[in-house]
Amino acid sequence: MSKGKVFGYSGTDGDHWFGVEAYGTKEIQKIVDPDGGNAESMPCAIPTPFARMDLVKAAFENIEKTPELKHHKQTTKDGSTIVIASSDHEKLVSDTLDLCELMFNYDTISQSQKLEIITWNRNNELKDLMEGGNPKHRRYAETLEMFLEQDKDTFNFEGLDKIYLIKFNHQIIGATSSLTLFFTTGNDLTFAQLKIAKKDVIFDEDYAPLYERDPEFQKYLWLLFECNPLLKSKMSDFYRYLQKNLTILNTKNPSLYKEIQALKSDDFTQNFEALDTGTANDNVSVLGCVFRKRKSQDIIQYIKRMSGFKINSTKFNDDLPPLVLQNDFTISLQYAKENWDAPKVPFEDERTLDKRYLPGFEHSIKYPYLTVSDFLEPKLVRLIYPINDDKYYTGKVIVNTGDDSKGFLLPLKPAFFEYFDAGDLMSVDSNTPNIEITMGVANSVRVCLTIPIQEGHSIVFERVYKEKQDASETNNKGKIVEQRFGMTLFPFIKTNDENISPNYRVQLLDSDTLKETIVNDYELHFYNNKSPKKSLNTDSSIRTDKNSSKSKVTSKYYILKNEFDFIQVSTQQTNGVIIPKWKPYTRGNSKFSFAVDFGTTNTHIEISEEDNEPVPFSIENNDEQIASLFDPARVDDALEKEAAFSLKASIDMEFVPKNIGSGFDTKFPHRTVLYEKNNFDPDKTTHCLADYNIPFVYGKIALRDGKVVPNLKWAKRGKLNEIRSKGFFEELIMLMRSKVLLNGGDPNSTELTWFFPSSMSSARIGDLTQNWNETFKNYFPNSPTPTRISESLAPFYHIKHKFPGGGMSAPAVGVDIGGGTTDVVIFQQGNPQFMTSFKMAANTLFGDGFQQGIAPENGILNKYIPEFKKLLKANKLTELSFALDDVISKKRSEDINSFLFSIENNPKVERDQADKFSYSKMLAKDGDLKVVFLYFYTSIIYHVALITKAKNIEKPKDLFFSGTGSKVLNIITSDKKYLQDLSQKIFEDVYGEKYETNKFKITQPESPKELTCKGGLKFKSDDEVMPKDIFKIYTGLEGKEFDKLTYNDVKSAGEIFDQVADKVKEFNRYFLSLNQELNFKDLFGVSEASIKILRDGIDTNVKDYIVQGTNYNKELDEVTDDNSTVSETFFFYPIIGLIKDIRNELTSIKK
Amino acid sequence: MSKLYIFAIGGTGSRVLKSLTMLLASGVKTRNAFDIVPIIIDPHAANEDLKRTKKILSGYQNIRKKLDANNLKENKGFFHHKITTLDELDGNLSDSFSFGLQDVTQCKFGEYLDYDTMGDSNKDLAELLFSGKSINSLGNEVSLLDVDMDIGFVGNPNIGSVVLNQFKDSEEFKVIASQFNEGDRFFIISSIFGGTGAAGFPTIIKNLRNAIKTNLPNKQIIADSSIGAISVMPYFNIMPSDDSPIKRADFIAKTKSALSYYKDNLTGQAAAINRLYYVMDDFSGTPFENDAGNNGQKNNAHFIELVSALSIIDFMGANNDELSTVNGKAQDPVCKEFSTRSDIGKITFSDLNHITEELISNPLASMMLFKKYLDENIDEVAGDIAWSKNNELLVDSNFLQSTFYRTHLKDFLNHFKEMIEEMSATERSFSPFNIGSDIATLISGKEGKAGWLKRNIKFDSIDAKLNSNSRDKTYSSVEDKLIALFSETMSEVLEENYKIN
Repeated sequence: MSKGKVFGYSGTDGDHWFGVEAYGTKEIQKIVDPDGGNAESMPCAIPTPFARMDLVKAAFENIEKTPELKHHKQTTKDGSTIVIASSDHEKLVSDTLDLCELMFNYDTISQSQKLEIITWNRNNELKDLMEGGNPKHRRYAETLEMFLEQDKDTFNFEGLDKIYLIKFNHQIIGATSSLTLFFTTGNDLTFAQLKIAKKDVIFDEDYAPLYERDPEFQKYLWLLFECNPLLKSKMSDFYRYLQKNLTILNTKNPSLYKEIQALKSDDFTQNFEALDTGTANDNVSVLGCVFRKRKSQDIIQYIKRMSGFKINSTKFNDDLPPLVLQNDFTISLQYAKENWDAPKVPFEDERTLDKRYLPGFEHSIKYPYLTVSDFLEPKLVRLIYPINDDKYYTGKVIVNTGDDSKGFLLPLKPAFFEYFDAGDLMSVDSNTPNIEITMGVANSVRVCLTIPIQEGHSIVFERVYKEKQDASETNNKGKIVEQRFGMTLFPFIKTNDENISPNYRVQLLDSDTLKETIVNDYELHFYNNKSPKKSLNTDSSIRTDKNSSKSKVTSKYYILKNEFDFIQVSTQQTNGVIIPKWKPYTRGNSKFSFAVDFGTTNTHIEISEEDNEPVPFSIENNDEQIASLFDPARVDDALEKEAAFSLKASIDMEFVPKNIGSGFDTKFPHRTVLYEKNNFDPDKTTHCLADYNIPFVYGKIALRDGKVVPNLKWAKRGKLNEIRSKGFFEELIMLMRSKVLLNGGDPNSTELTWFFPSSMSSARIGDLTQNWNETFKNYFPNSPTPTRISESLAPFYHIKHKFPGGGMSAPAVGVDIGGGTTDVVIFQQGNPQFMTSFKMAANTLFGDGFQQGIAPENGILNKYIPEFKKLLKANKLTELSFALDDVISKKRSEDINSFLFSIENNPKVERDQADKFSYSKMLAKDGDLKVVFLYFYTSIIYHVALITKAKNIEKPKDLFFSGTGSKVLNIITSDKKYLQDLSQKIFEDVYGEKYETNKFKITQPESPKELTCKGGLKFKSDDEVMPKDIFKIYTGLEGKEFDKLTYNDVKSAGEIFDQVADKVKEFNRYFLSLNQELNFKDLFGVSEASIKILRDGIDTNVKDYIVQGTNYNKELDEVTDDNSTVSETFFFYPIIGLIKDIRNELTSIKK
Repeated sequence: MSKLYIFAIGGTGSRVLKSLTMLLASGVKTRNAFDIVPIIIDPHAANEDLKRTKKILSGYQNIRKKLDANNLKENKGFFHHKITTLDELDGNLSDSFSFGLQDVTQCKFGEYLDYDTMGDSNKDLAELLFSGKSINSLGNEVSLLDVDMDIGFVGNPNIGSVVLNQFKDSEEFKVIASQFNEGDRFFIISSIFGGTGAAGFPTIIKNLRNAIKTNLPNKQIIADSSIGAISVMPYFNIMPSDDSPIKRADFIAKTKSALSYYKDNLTGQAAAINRLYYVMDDFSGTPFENDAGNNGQKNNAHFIELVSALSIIDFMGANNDELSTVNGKAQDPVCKEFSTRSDIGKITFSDLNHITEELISNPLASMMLFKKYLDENIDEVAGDIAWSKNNELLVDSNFLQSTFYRTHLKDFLNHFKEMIEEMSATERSFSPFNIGSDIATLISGKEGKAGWLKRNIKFDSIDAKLNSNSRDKTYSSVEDKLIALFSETMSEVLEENYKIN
């Protein structure tokens, strides 16, 4: 008998139609798929509108029976293949878990992608269909209702009142299911492929069982069932899946297995938050069990921990390090919950960082991120000159088209520095940001700012700036704006040493004169790395205004008492950043000593390092103190082309020169003048190098936008002049301080020596002392208090070693002829024995006597100015011509003369032409004028001889000169021997006794002005002699030669003047007799006519001059009490007066 | 007489109904007699199988109209089972056997729902529930909402379940309900793997069991009625075709899903069906042409359809107390499978189980022999031979020219023969007859012997038997005489000469 056949799957045997059990799972599984379970499509085979729900349930049921929760075939004993679960089942389960996980991560899904939860309310929606009057709708509704009712047990429809429909990008992707939590659409879900975890793209072809998914999600599902036991029974297929998953975890991921085992029901509510439909408290649920989602805070923490886009900044310390994002970033780094899938990153986000949502999650993940407009400015400021890249960081400039003759401000916003120090930008370390500026066609500029993120990756913020496009941060379009401004820092030092108080001046020059930019109002904001959010406090002062300035430039000065790392330059329209390339600083320990000879006309500074031989103060190329933004080596053409030369010139005029010293345009000694702004108001707070400065170009170029103030030393006492002289000191001290810091000096052991004239009143010396001490202490707070020395004494200390016996065996006399005073010191045994001082000096010859500002009446000038004008014009020295005009306009004879003397040494004058421009040589050849110089000189020597004789001092054998005024000796004669002979004769005549042959010697140093300072620096405290102790005034009164006189004495005893007048007249007679003895014409080239003029006027006004001079001096010393002591001899008053009176006559002598 | 309402759903429903009609025509005996009311449910109105079945049913009725009701009451013989149309029950219905589906002609599923005018949420839900792809008559992929209704549900029972649910509001259902009496039964034929059958089956069950919630007359009786059903699982191969949405692997997958659904919603605890018959065949034979619908789906008759038809015979045989239903729940529901004696590709009577063989071999062979006789012998003897002249009812050449004979009977028997031939041509095949041979070898494995020498039987032996059987009999008409005489005689000949009882 052949084998029978049963046409069914029960496996039961019987005849004909025989009874079997209703087919259950076991029987159904036996049904062999002829294609091996690899069917491509997933048919919806169930006769109910809710077929898809059942389909998903069946998929879970089948997948759960497989060993790894994946599609699975099994070969039976008889060799046939049974499909336990097909790949379709696997897909359905995977898609359902995808949807579930998507909802779990609801908050991470961008609202822009429109993930929506729509509620289908059973009662309302069915009622709508039923009662809407549409029979087709009613028929459909009744069908739904029938199935909902009939299948309520198997589909868990009992109590179902809502189905939550999930839409993505306006398309339905699935819904809640009372069988399997969720079910998905049968339509293609490719459009909804999203990365929701590092490796998982939902709805893709790479199906993932639960245990391969996000551990948090697995915990969530586990807890969902643990906390809702109803689900365990109602969704038993799903629950069995979870249990199987747990079993698999035990081997595949034991740690997660343990974590899940350890979960407590509290964790469910604590770790996850309810999933609502978008309306608060309208929670999404199934079978009354509320779904939950990842806490948004958890996402934040996750991003904080995991994101590869976190800014790589050690500086930023806020809780959440922002992500740095750019469009077109192609590396698949961990972004938020998933890897980067290039969402659209806005170029600008107007919200503050803490209110920002991540791109791609615009309404769900509030997490700070940075985009291009946070760091890059909308406008790029182009300068009209190349930047000084030795002193300022320019970024990496690449020139593809055009040239680099115009620099750019860094278009960085200060926010950048909240994350990085200025130094990071300049560092070549790969983990630091850098900026690249590429110049392209049509003057366009591409700026690429590279920001380091995690693991060596970086983000590039890129913006293209063009001249002819409007700036739009939203569209990442930048505009180039050209601005004509300059900036210079002083000093260019950053010590980072808290014990060294910073004190900066920053000059900002604005020469924007074009229509579009003339309104620019420039401001500088200074920041340090530590507090990039708040600019440092500054004072500022506008000194000139381009609208009224002759230089067409606005100058503004910032006073800054803090060190800084970068500067923001702002106008109403633009911002840009300047980063100084500060040089590394180490505090040095060299002792620097400075000596300042604050002269009436010129001031000199000598400097000695570690007690070495003093040298004049200089600023060399290697210790430049200022840093101009422009490149000084390349700037001339650029500025000339733009007619903005004032950007450079104003530095020298109003600020600090780049160099000072031999071989440079300016050097010490320098004119003692201050350049202050117009309408300088002493009642307002003013600052050195802001409201005023020492104009080191004085006399070289015209200073037309302010006021040049001379006569600082002897100006009337008062607030204004105190500020001025103190200001003059301050700039000098600032230069000294920079010098010390830049050259390894110790700012705590810096010494300053300054000098005062012996003839100066105590009150004035007190003023000077206070000014020097206070100012010095401001800049060198820990250094010793400055030392003061008499001007008269100082030179001797420098040269005393040059007199082997000088001053030792026989006395030596030092004569220091300055601009305003002449000091005389008599040394014996190497020590000063005696000294005196009087205000007859160089100004007596070239200045305006007892009056001020009467240069037009100065015959010498009237004679020589036209000659110099002619000379300058013939030699096309236009700049010097302007400078001369400028100084002439101030009507100060001493200044004009000083200028004329300086011309021969002006760098504009060719060296081999210098003689032609030598004022000294012109004067030396002027026979009509020479008598004055001779008279001047003779009076001094005569006066010294009177004194030494009166003091019973042996005839001096050495006479040495110092001071600028001593240069008059060269005008008198170029042969020193004649002067020696003359001087020797005066001493012999006064003493009435002859010298031994060749015993008298005159020493006249080449740089007489420097002697004071050099001597001051040689001065040792052992040498200290109190000038007051040896200071004597020769009264000219017989028997009372050195008595102290008061103004009362003078007033009460009018005969004092007569006695002095007699003494002067005696000298006058002696002078005229000398001519007869020696023949001044032969010896010195003095003209006959001039001698005649002198002789005629010589005794005319002697007494009047004494009275006039006394009053002038009294006023100068601000004497209010007639008991005050007279501060100098009256002897020179008639001589000064005569010189002034006959000067004009002499210069008008016709040949 | 109690009625048996048979819902024949989809293509399979029609084909099984055809087999049943043939079984009934051949006089298969049933323990209980029923007035059979077939209702074909198929939106695919152009389905060839449906058309053919309707034609056969009409033929059956036309034949039976001429027969004597009294003779037929003996519950044996050709055409003794009563088949009634729905309109015969009421008279107002448009179609004899088909359930008139509304809104399916020239209509897409979305239009059927009037999807476009729904509210947003309902729209979204419908879009989700009816997501996925199907295929239209041109072979293009379309979404479910765009499926054309008039080619059936093309393997989408979820659509079917919605459309076929209009059954509950139909005039047909109201007629059934109004006529439904205690003892009347329902039977549902459907395939599990297609669209229409798979959907219509549970829908109709649910509506019947759910009748209690309607305003229908006799709703309690309907809800608690005896319901039998056969679920036809995949039994034939189809040609693989990339263009067709119908795939064999799909068939299996769908079967499994549907069975799972039945398990939860019809059988088991749901206990919606008193008797559920499962049938399948996994024989891999000649594939059917793969044709999604429209004017296609004319398939050869298949043994499984005959087996399915036998399930109805089986169901009719059950007593009422075996099929009781309380509160819509079948009491002690029974499921059944079918078996044959041997598992071979070509089945003859002797390969069937004894019960099956006994049930159908004599009637089918009788009908076959009847056909053979009419085809090969009656023209020669009609009008001359005794049996044709007895009873004053002349079966002569005139009669042979009558509409009854030429059109109704001959056509019907041609369909019978066609069915037999088709069944033997498919694989697995049912081939009880050697149709082309002489009558002695007509029946596979059973030689017809006559006379004491037991020579091969010839028509004259049959004529002799006809002559004797026709003596002293009363027939109401020539038609009645022909059917009754041959029915009796053929059966006896088979018993006596072929040993087929």
